[in-house]
Amino acid sequence: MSFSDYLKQFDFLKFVPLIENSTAADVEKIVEKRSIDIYDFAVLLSNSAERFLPALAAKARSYTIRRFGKTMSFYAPLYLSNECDNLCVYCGYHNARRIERVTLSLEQVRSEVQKIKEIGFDSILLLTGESPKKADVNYIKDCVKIAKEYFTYVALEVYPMSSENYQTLSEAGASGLTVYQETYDKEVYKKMHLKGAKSDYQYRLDTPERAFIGGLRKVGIGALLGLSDWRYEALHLALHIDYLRKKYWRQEVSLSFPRINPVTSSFKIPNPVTDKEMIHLISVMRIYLDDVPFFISTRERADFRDKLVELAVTHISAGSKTTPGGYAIKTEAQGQFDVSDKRELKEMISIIRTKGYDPVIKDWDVNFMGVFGDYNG
Amino acid sequence: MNKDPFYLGGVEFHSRLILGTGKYPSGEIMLKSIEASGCQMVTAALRRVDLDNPQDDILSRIDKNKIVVLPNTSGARNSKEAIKIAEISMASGLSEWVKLEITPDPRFLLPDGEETLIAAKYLAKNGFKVMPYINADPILAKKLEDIGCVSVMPLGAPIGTNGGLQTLSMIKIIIKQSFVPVIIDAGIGKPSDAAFAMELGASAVMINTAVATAKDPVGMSTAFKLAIDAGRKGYLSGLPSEKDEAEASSPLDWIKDL
Repeated sequence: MSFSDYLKQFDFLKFVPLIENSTAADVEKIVEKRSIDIYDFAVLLSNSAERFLPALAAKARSYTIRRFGKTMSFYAPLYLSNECDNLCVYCGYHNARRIERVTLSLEQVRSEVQKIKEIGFDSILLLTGESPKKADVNYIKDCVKIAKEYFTYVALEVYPMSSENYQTLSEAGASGLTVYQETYDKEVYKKMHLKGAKSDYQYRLDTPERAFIGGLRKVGIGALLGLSDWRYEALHLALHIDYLRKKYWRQEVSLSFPRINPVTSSFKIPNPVTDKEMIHLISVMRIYLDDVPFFISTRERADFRDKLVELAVTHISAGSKTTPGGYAIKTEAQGQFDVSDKRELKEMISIIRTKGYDPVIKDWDVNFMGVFGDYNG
Repeated sequence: MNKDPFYLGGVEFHSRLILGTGKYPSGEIMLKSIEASGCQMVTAALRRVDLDNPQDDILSRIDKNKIVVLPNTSGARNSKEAIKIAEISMASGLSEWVKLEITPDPRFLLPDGEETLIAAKYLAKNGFKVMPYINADPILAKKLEDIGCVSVMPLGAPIGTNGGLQTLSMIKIIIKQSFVPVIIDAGIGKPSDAAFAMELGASAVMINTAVATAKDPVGMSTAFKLAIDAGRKGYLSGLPSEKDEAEASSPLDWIKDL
C-alpha cells in the first residue's frame, strides 16, 4: 500500500466541517480526552480551538516532557552546495536567481566539518540544492564519509533520489534524511515549483518511503509553512506520519516546522502563519503525535525559539550558517534563507540549562548501521 | 446486509466472529451454535479431521457455501510439523487457509513466536492464507504482516482460561500499528470481553471454550454475536475516551498574551 492508497481510505469531506465549523463545545470535549484520533485532531485544528490554546499548550508540554524528559538535542546544518536546477518561487537558491553558486570541494568539506566538530556538535545535517550534475550521489557519499569520521550522527537534506542511492548513502554512514513536501496541496505545489525535478509532486511525496527502503533509520518530514492553509497541511502531515510509522515500523519519523520568514523574504507569502498559529499547530501536533521528535531551525527568532523549547520542540540547531562554506572557509555564496537566531551553540546550551533542560549532543552510536537484511522478509 | 464488512485474505466477511469446533457436548449442538452465531468462519483442528473419510467428519456437516473452514495446526510443536500439516490440508483439497498454531508446551499451549515466524514465512510464500496465533507481541505481529500473513491473531489471555483481555496494552499497540485484520484469539471468556475487544478496534474475535463449554452453547453463541455487534457499533460511533487533566503551565504563561 502506498501513501496515496492510504489517503484514499479517508473521506476528506468528513474532515472539512470538523476543521471549518467545530464549535468551542466540540473542542472542549476533545481537550479533556486522554488520547485522540485523527477526527479529534481535525477538531483541534479549528479556529474554535484557539481560545483553548493555554490548555492545549500545557498538554503538549506535559506530553513532551513525559516522553522525552527535559532534554534538548542539538545539530548543525552544513550546506555542501547551493547549485540548483529547480525553480521554487519562494527559495533563495532557485535557479533563476543570480547568486554565486558554490559546491564545496571535498577538502573544503573537511575544513567545514572539522570546524563544526570544534564548535562542539556531534550531529550534522548535510544539505544540497538539487543539481545532480554538480553534486551527484558519489559526491554526497564522499561527503558523508568525511562527516562520519568526525560525527556519530550524519543526516542528509538532499534532493530526492532512488532507494538504491539512499542505500549507497546509508552504507556510507548516513543515518537520517530530511525531506519536506513543502505543501500537500497539489494546486499550490504546482504554482510554487515551476521547473526542475522537484515539479514532480508524487515523486517527492514517496521520498520518505524510498529513504526507508534504502535503509535510512530516521526520516524527517514537514510542510513549508506559509504556502497553503496550515490546517490542511497539518492534517496531511499527521496522516503521512501515521502511514509511515505503520509501514516502516522499524524506523523513526520526525517532524519539522519550517516557516517562511515574512520579514526577510521578498516572496509574497500566500498564507502567512502567525506566531499564535504556529503555537496552535505545534501544540496540536504534539497532542496527536506524543512520541515524535520535533525540530526547529534558526529560521525562527531567538525569543520565539526559546519559548518553543519549553513547549514541544526536542531538536534544535544553533549557530547555523546557510551558505556553503559558512563555518570555516567563508565564501561569497548566498544563504538559502536568513538566519534569525544567530546565537552560537555555547550560548544556546547555557540558555537551555537555565531553563532546566539537559542539552544532548551525542545521541547515536557510530556502529549503528542502516536497516537491511531481513527487511520485509 | 450489514454495511460494515471486513476483508480477510481477499474475502468479504459480514460476521466478525470466528468459532472453534472443539469441546462441544455434541456435533448437533456445535452446528446449532454455529448457526445461532451467524459466523462465517469456523476453525477445526486438522489432527481431528480424517482426510481419508471426509464424509464422516464434522466438517462435512458444515455448509461450505456459507462458512469458510479454517483448518488449524493445533498440536504442532514446531514449524516443521505445522508446515507438514498445512501442506497435507492443501494437497487434500481441504483449504488454502491455515490458522497457524505452534505450541511446544502442552500445558499452557502458548504459541512459539520464533517457530511461528519460520512456518508463516514458508507457508505465505507457498500460497497459503496464513492466520498466525501469537502472543500479544506487537513486533512479532508486524514481522508476520510484513511476510504476508492475512491477519494476526494475538491472544487476550492463555487459551482456555476465559481470562479476558489481560494483554490489553499490547493488543492496543497491535491494533494501532496493523494494516491486516487483528483477530483476538484465546482468552475471551464472556460476551463483554468480546464487546470490549471490538470497542478497541479489533477486526474480529475467535472464540471456542466460552461457547462450547457453556451450559447453553447455543444461547452463548447468540450472546457473543450480539456483544460483537454492540462493541463494533460502539467503536464506529465514537466512544468517549478517558479524561485527562489539562492544567495551564507557568512556563507557558506567555501564551495567554499572544
